[in-house]
Amino acid sequence: MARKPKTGPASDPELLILLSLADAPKHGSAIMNDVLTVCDVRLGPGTLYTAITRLVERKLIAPETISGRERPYRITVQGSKTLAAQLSDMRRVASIGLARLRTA
Amino acid sequence: MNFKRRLIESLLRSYPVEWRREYGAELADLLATHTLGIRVVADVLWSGVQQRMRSREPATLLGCVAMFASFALLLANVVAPQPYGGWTTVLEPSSMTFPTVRVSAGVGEVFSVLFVCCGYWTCRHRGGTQSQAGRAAATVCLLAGIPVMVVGALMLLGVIGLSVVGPGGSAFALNGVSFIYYSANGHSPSPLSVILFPLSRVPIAWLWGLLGGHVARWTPSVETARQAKIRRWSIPV
Repeated sequence: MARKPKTGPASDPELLILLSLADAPKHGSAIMNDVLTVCDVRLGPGTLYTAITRLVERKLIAPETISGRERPYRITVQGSKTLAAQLSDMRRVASIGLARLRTA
Repeated sequence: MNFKRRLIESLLRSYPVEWRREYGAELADLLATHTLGIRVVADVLWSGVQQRMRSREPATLLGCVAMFASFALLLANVVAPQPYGGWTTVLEPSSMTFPTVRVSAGVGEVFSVLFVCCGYWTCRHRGGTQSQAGRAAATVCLLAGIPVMVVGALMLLGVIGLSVVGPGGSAFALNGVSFIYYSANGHSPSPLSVILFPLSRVPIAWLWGLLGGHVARWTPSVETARQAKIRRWSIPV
């Protein structure tokens, strides 16, 4: 099972959390499991909540009304825009890189 | 309460109070479903330190300053030792305390002022209770003591040596990496006493913090003083 990579897009826990919340609201444990399943990256509980705190402060995600002790988070409009912009940048860089590799 | 629950509570204490109030229950539940291995514990502790740095609590800020100051003093003691009575005297023998070392005169007073300031700041600007002021000063003391404890541990492991310098003795002719201990009577401390020394200072730091908290409670705030001045000079209708 892979741990958090030191480089590359998967090294950014905030991006991974935004990615995980893109389809539906999730609570902490569900985010961790989703990131592990989709990206094969195991986020530590401390890393996860440090990133969640930052994202909430930057208003990119927001906590939903508490259901029991597990509070779900949802991506905000600003968060969706930020995620889309980051993914577009990554796609552009990836396409340029792959094209250059093909011509080399 | 089982061991895991206690460990989770201890880990959560590494986070600032405000953060714990917001996210503490969620993180506790998440940790309860995890195996608390070294990686997870280190991850949570590091996250707690990051949050404390972000929250700019008086205890964390002053503790970091104190830790840096004691580290710089210890580094100077090892790298550029002064002759007996010089400014690199960090620890000195004591017959009145256990362990039989104490922080040198001057350095001790500076740290005491720091503990009082921490207690004052915690009570005054953060609205903390006097008990919180004491705890904040104790935290500063512990953080300041980390470099001393590290030196003690390195001495215990034999990584660095110990050189006792008396009056008239020179610290320049010593070989290897040594912690210079200035002692008039040739007293040489055990590494264990160097490790335990910062812990023995915690109750005193707590008392200094409490004093700072008392001062904060008895000092009228700037706004109260301003209003009192206005009342004094206003003409009764």
